[in-house]
Amino acid sequence: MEKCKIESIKQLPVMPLTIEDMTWNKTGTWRLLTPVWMNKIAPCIRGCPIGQPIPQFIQAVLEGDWGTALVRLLEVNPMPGITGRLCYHPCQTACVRKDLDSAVSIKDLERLTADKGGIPRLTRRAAKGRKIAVCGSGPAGLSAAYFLAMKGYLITILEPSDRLGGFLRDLPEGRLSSEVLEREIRRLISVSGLDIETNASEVRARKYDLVLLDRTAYPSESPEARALEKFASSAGQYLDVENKEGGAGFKVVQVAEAVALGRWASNQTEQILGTAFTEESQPFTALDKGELKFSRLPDQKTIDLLERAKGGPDEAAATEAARCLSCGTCNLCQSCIIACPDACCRLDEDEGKIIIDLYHCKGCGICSYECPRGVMNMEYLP
Amino acid sequence: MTKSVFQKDLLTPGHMGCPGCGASLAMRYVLEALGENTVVVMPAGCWPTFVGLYPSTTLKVPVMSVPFATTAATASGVRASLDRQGRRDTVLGWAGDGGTFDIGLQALSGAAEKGVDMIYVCYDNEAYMNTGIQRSSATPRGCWTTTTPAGALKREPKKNIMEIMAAHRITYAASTSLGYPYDVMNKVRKAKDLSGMRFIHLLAPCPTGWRHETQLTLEVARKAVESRVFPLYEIFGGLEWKINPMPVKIPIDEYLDLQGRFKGLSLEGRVDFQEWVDREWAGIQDKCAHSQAALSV
Amino acid sequence: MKKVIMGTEAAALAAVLARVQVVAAYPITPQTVTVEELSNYVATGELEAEFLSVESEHSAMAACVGASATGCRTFTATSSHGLALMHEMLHHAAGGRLPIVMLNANRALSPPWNLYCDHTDSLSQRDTGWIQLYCSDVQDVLDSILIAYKVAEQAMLPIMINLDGFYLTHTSEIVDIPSQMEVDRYLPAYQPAEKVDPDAPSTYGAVCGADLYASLKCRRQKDMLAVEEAWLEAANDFANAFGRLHPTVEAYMSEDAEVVIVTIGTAGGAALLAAQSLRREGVAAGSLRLGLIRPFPKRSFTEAVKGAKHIVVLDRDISFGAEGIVAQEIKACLYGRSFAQVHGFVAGIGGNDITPEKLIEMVRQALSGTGDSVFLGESTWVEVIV
Repeated sequence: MEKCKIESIKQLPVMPLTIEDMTWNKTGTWRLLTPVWMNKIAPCIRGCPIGQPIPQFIQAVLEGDWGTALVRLLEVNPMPGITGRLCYHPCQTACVRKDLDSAVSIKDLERLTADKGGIPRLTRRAAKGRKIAVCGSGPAGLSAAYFLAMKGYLITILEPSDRLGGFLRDLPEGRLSSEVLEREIRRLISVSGLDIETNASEVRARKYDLVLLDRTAYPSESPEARALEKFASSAGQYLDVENKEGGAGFKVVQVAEAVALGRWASNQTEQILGTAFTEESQPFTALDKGELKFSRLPDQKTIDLLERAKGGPDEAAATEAARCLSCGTCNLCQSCIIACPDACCRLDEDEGKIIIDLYHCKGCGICSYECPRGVMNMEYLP
Repeated sequence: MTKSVFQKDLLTPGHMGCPGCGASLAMRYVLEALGENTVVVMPAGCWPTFVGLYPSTTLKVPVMSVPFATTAATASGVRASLDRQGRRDTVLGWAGDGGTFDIGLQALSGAAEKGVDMIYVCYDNEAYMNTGIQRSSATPRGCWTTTTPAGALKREPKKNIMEIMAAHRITYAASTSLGYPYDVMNKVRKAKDLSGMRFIHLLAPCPTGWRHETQLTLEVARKAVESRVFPLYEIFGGLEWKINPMPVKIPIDEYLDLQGRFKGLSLEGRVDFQEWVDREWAGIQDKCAHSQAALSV
Repeated sequence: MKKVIMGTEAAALAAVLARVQVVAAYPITPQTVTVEELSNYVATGELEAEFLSVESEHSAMAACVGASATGCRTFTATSSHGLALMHEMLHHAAGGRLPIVMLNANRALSPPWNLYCDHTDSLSQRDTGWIQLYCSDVQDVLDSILIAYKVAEQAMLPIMINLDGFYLTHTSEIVDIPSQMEVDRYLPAYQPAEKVDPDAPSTYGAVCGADLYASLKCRRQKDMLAVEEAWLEAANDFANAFGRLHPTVEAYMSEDAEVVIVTIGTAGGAALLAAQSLRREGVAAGSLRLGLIRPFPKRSFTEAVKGAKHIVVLDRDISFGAEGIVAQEIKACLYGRSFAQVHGFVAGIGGNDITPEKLIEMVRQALSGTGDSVFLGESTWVEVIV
């Protein structure tokens, strides 16, 4: 707002009363350092082969919002119910909380999220009209198919056998029940809308712009692996999806690596087809544990949410979720908003974002000092 | 959807307070707890100098900026006038330590004795900050100010305003600190639900006068409580004492060392300071125990 | 209805008739009866108002400021030291443009202690921005307070109604008390055009830069100067409604007078008698009582004394190092407009009676240049030992 121009005394009340607010006074010019609100990569995220947004989904669990929690996972992982059971959870090994008492049970929360989150709706990109066949339906193939489908490609999975899942199919019930496997695959299909062709015997190469071959789906000497070999010969141009060692198969506990491989393959596909969609890349900063202020954790929002969950069906999950410090990840605890003497930090409730009014921010730095998780940082911006 | 902690936000940006100003934060918290229907009466001090530059203001509630000694008296008049007009708006007396401990004490005592229905908040930054950091009777012993300079640091301990207010047997008196924003808001909300004279003693650090870095305003206010230099407690009806919340105990050095104003404090001075803190703390504990015992009889 | 009452009682009664909504006051001799009466009226319900017994005069005016600024008709009463203690708040009330009406019982300031009549207390507050009126009798007290609310609320300026301590505060006279209905017709309920309003929040009294500060003061001066006419108009309305006229200056036989005796307050009666005596002795004398002192009623006064060669001014006050304050005011008013000689006499301070004889003696001394009084600086001191 601009300052009102007083040209006649009649504009002013007779009593010495004000007639406008002070927002015309741009106190931002006093500032030397500028607060920057930016999430950083937490150690758990860095530990996760898929790079799942762990603090975010756990925050949704704490809020009792299983649907949102699952969406956060499904954005990067099509089968959290499987990774949540089988993965060797390097995320927990990296968890900051390990040094305080014990790591947050991220894997269990992931499994619970997959079990309780139902079938949420995710936005798919607009159809691109390109057709891709994914041969073999191990976790890597399924993931590649899923990510590509989400990006708007028309996907058909060609599975030589009668069941999807690749090496996950044959696990003992105690490790991964067929019920869970089926549920995860069903959701994957329903969310991404891809087509399935089981008992497929060949690839009609002309139908597809590209064929992907999931070499990790089955042990190398299995009949299915041999069937895939046959597909390769009929596919024309194809992309090999294979593990780091160039070989077939994954250890079961490496299921997350398989998902990551699937994502790599989906990106690779786009490169090959020349349809890669360039997004503005987010600046990538890893969180330094020294930026965390443990004495200020848990924050009030976490305490409030935990209180709310008390006595409810999800109390145990919320209690575990509340242990997450949300390292480097804004959970909208609003410490910065509370800390601002100039009412310059505000919450955009609809977007779930912190907005800083730089026209008025004086750069005192309390917001940054009070942020328990290193998200608000004072920077010199000439 | 996460809701903003500040649903009302009755303070607009653009005020003239220093970067890191504790007094502005204090107003934000208190107004958030009280809401729109509040008439603020503030005497001379930092607040009226930065509330606005006529004809502009930074607050979205009515404010009366009045002479130094008159906060409680003017507020009494506002209360009477609103009562006469059948209005139930909250009247908020808003003064610093100068306007409360010193020049405004007589009027405050007058209003407290009569139980005027108002909330009086003293935002205490332990010196006359607006005129350039001169001692007040709220300045702690061993503290530097421009009128207790190096070599003549303040000799007298801080005046105990809470006991003075309790002696008036007012409905509610509570001490709180900016380091505990939710405690501030909760105590003000509690005060709002009561009637009669309600007094809030709110510790609000001043980076300029306390000589601490601007980002430490809340940290210093927290450490003041944790070190028990500034205990948080409530007094109901002048007699029922309750420590709330109970602080952890840290050495006073962790509090003092954050600030330049205690730089001149000698080792003996620190020992002295700690003894004073312990004595005051024991006094409060005695009163709490005593009032508990009295209640249970 | 006619009743025999004292000045302090009349003031309280006027406040009741004006239906004031908030009263905040601190007792001080000789104003005390007004405070007692008002608390009684509130206690019995005859006055529906908030009565605040504050702990000092400074707080009394502060409470009035709070009440008036938020939109209530407000009344207070004080005297002497109480008024002096209020000084800061007087400036504030005027700057806040608050139509507070206050009774001041004129009393001497210590040391040494003296409880009797002296005008220095109020006249030394001339520059605070208050409209100041000095009453002549008990009826004048009652009527002036009613007129004062009308003027104050229109001009958005506070008014001080001054009563000579004891001579008026404690003198009982027959007073015609108008009915509440008549008063309501003359002075309707207060409807402030501006106020501190929770429904339309704004900040009252924020810091102001030099640019606008000077302009606000200029407007206040303009509005203050307009009060002389506003008072006359309100007084005329009052006269039409109640049959009693209270002009800004009350002149007697001044049209053809060579010498005019000027007074404020209760001495006006003695001055009138003195003028009559002097006329009988062949001196063309007249008398004039100034009702308003602030704003100084320049037009009415100049007109009333335009034929006079000598003006004898009685001052129950002194501005040390200068002279009597009323005499100064008159000189300032007449400078460049009249060749009349102004003779200032300081008399009656600290409770000395002003009799017609004393005034006649002053006139003689003024005309002859000789007498028993002591000439000091610009003014002549009566009944003093040197």
